[in-house]
Amino acid sequence: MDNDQTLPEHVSLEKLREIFMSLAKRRIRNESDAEEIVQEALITVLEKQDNQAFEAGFLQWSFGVLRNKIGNYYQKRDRRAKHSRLVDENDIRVRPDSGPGPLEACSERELKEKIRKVWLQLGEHCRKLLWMLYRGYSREEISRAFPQYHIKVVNTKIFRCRNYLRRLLRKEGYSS
Amino acid sequence: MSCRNIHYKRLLPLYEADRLDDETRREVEAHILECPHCARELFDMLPVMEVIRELESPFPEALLVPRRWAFFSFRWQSLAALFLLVAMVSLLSLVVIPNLKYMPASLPTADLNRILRQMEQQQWVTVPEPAENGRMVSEAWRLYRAERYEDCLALIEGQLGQSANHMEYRVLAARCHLALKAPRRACDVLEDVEATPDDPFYDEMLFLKAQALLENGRVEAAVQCLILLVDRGEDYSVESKQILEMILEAKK
Repeated sequence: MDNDQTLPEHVSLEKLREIFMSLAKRRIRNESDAEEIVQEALITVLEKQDNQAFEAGFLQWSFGVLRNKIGNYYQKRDRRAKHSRLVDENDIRVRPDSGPGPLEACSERELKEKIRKVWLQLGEHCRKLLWMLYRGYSREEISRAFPQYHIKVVNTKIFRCRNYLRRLLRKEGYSS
Repeated sequence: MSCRNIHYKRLLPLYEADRLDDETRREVEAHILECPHCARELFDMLPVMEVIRELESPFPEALLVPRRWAFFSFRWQSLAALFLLVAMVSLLSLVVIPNLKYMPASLPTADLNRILRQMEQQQWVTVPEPAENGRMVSEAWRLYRAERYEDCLALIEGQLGQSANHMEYRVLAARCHLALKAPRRACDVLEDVEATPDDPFYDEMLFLKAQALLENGRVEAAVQCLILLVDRGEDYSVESKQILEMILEAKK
């Protein structure tokens, strides 16, 4: 797979593979499975990235591809387990040395519930700021919605609110 | 452990929300490829962002920022508030110090003084006779004419409130104070004078008062005195009219 030239200039395939591996290994105990998933994800990225109109950055999109591949992997496993009614005790999702990760510790629905719960613990200002940010509002629009903040401090407020959100998520056992 | 590069850590939320320009976005992506902490953070935030995007607006209003106010940013609001504050202070000061409202650019006090001197030379101003007013008044006028204003004031000091000729003494004292460039004292001397329009010194008192008030910056009060003089149509009416016209001109 030497399609390095089809990737954006600042992204090398080797680096992308390394990062994908480090992320996948946190989610999947079996290293060969992790490698296989990374390989699949890289192929998808290389195939689709040319025609992809990124909503966000390239890496964010490619991380999303990897996340979907990992999700598919677990869905297949769960289906197999349901089908055979057997789950190998050794095949636990959580790596004992890495602590509980977001995807392996709970299902997608549970995860969303946790995020919603934490969301309500955030202050009103933080909720509004982050909601506007991830809904694609510009800094100027956010600043207009928060006249008490000068436009120059909007980024700082966003940074702090996001950190607070991550701290709350960590308390709930999600995220690193 | 987390990334120690605060610059990129602060850019990460903006990268997630696609709020960076192309160059900065490439920089951040290059950093993420080198930094497993930032990569993990971004990876973990993906489902969080998805959930947040699905959530209902935390704003009570249907429209986040009403269009008609959209142009009215915080900076403009601050400027408008500052402008209102300045306007209010100015208005207040005009109410509290009403004379400021009529403060002309240059006061015609020199003209008042000149007119007064001319009238004295032409003997329009009452010159007391020694026989009528007694020795002290005559002596005071003599000192005044000799420009010994301080001596004159020392002589009449005790007569201002009690003498039968107190009106004349006050006019004389006011003249001395004005000559000594002490208009505030001249104002004080003429402040509570109980004079009737029949008094021979009434017009002169009003004219001197107008001069003293004008030199004190109390233009509106001075204008009132001058209007009174014009209305009376006596000795000082023509000159008062001239002065009033000068004040109006200066106001323009």
